[in-house]
Amino acid sequence: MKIANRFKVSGKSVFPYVLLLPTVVAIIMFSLYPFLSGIWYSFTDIGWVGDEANFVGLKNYKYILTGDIGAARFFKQALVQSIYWTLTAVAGQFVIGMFSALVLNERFPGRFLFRMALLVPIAIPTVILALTWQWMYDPFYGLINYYLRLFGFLEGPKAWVGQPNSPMWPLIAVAIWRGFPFMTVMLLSGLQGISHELYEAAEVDGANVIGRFRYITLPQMRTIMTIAVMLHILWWWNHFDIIRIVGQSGLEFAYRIATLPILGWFEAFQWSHLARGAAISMMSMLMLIGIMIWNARREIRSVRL
Amino acid sequence: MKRFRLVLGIVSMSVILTLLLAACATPEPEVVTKVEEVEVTRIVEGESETIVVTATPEPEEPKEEVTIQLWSTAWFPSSIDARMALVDKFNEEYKGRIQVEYIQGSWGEVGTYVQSGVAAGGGIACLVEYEVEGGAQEFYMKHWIQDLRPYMTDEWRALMTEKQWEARRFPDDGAIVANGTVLWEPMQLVLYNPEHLEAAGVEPATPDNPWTWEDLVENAKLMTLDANGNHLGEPGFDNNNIVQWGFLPRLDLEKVWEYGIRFAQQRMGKPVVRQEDGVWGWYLDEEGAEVYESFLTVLQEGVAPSMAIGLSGDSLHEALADGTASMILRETFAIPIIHDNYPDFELGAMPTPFNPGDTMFYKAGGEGVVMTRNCEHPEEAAEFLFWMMKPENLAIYAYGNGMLPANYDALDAEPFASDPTWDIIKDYLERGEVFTTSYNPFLDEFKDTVAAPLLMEVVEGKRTFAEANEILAEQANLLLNQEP
Repeated sequence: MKIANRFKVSGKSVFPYVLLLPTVVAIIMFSLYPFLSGIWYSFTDIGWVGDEANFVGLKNYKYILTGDIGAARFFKQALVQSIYWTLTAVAGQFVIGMFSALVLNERFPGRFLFRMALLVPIAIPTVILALTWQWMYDPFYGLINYYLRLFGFLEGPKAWVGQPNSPMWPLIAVAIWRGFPFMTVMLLSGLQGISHELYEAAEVDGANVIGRFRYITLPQMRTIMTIAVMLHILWWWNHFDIIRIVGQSGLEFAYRIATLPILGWFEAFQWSHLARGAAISMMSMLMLIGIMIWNARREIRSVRL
Repeated sequence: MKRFRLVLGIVSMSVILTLLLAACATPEPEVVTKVEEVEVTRIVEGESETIVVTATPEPEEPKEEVTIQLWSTAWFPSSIDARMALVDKFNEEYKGRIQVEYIQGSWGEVGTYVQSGVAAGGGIACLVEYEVEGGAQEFYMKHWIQDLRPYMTDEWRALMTEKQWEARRFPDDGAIVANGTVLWEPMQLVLYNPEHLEAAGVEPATPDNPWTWEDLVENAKLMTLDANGNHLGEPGFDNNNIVQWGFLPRLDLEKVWEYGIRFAQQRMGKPVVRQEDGVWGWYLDEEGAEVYESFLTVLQEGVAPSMAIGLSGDSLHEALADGTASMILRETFAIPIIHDNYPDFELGAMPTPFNPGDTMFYKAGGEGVVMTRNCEHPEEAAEFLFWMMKPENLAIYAYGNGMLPANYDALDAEPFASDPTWDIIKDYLERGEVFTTSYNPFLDEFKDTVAAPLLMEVVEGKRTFAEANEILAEQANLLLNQEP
C-alpha cells in the first residue's frame, strides 16, 4: 500500500499501470511490432531480411491471387489444404474431446490419474512432439510399423509421411492427439457448470442418455462449445510445426500438404520474396477474421432472439 | 523489524550480485617479464673490464587470445568427431593467439541462423558452414556475409584449383564467398551388398568396366526376388510378395532434381540451367534427357518399390544393411555412416552408370565456410579458413565427412591415402573434366515450385518425361528471368 501510494499522478494511483508495463512492452516488441511490420512489408517489394523496402501497393496481392508461377501456382491449393486441415483436425479434437469430457465428468476410481494423463500432450513442446511422431512414423525404425507388423497388419515397411505423395491424415492424427486435451479441459468446465437438477428432471420425464445429452447437455454447453471450437480453429489454421517437421523432409517444399502458413514461410524465407510471404499471411489472417466476425454476428443474433 | 529485514535483504542481494559479477570478470592477462644477461664493458680505475650484468627490459604488452566460433552443420558422428578433432588441432597449434569454439548447428537452419544474426546486428558465430551454390552466394547477395578476398594470400589461393575458386565466386563483383572444404561432385556411388551380387552371378561395375543405365536395370531385375526366390522377369515371379529389391534410389522432391540434374550434366558437360544469349532457361539436350529419364523411371521397371518415393537416406542404409535392397544410390558420405551404424555389414561400392569411353563431366562447387557480416575478428577467422584448407588438415575434415576434399592434395594425406574405397573417386577425378555454373537467385523457387513437382509426376508415371521437359523449359524462361 505504501509503495502503491508513491505512484500517484494527479492524486490517482498509476501503480497498476507500472506493474503492467513490462507485459505491454513485451507485447509491443514481440507481437504488435512484427504484426505491423508484416502488414507494411506486404505492400512493399522487400526480398529478404536487410533488403530495401519500397512501396508497391497491391502488387503482391495481385501476384498471389492471379499469377501462375512460383508461390502463386500453389495458393489456391494451399487454401483448400488449410481448410481441410483445420476442419478435420478441429472436428476430430471436438469429437474426442467431448467424449473424454463426458467420461471424466463421471465419478470413478482413478479419475484423477486419467485427468493428469490428459495433460501430457499439452505439456510436451510441439517441436519435441513432432520429432517424436516423425520417428514413430518412420518406415523402418518406427514404433507404429513395428507393432503393425508384429500383429500381422503389415507385411513390409510402409512410409506414412514425408513422401511427396503422402496423404495428410497421419498429420491430422497427430494434430488431434495434440489438440484434444485442451478441448477436453474446456468442455469439461462447461459440463461441470450444468445443474444436476436438469438431468434429474429429465430422467423423471423419461429421457434416456441420448435424449439428456441432446436436449440438456448440448444446449447448455452451446456457448462454451462455440468458444472452444473458434479458439481451436484460430490455432490450428495457423499451425506450422507438425506439418513442417512430421510431414516434410528437410527443406523440401511438400506442395501436396502445404497449407497457407507453410506456403507463406517458403515464399518469405526460402524463395527470398519476404513481401509476397507477408501478403500470403495477411490474406490468411483476413480469412480468419472473416470467420470470427461471421461467428460473432451469429452469436449476437441468437442472444437477441 | 520489517524495515530491518528489508535492508538486510537488499544488502544480501547486493553482496551476492557483486560476487557473481566478480566471478564472471575476465582476469587481466599475465605480464611476462624476461630477464636477460648482457655483457657490459666498463672502465674501472683507468682499465677496461667486461662483466656480465642482468638487465630487465620493459615488459612486453601481451596479445590477448582471440576466440572465434565455428557453427558446424555436421550431422553424423564421424563428421562431428572430425570437426572437433580439427578444432582441437588448430587450438593446440594456435594456443595463446586464436582459439576456435565449436558450435553444433543444423544444415536446415543455416539460413534462419545467419539472417537472425543480421537482424540482431551480431551475436552469431564468425564462421558458418554451408553449401556454396544457392547458399553462400545467396547470403552474399543479401549482404549477410563477407567477401574473403581482402584476407586471401597467394598461398591460400594456391590450395585449390581456379575452377573450384570460380564456383565460390559471386558473379557480379567477383567476391569469394566461402573457402573450400568439400566438393559435391564427383561423389555419387552405387553401394551394394556383395552377397546379393554374388548370389545373382553379377559382376560389379568398375571404372574400367562401367555399367550403363540399361545394365543397372537388368542386373537389378536379377536381384529383385519374391518370397520363393524367383527374380523379376522369371516365370512364377510373385509381384505381390517381393522380399528383396534390386535397386533403391532416393526419389524424393529434392533428389529427383539434384541427382537427375547431376547425371544429365555429367553426360552433357555443361549445366542444364544456364544462360544462353543472356536468357536463363532449362536447356536439356537429347543425351542429358535420355539419362535423366532413365533415372526417373526406375520405378516403372519394377526394380524399386513405390515406397522408394520419399525414403530418407537413413532408411536406404537400413534397407541395404538388412538385405531388403541389393543396391542403393548414395553419396560417399554414406560409407562412414553405414560403417558407424552397421559395423558388421560388409559394403561394396561401384561407380554410377555411364557409357564406356564417355568423359565424366562434373560440376565445380560444393561446401565451404563463410564469414558472417558482423564477425568481430575477421583476420583471425580468415587464418582458420586458410589453415583448414591445408592438405593434412582438410584430410581430417573431409574424410570424417565422407566427402571429396576441395584441395585434391588432401587425397594423398592420411586417412585418405590408405583407404581403397576412395580409389573410385580418384579415378573419377583423373578421367573427369570439371565445369562451372552461374548463379541465379530464383533457382530454389524454380526447383520447388516447378521442377520438383513435375519431375515427381514423371516418377509416379502420371506424366511422360517429354511433357515435363517441355513445361520445364517454358516455366524456366518465366521464373528464372524475373526482376530481382
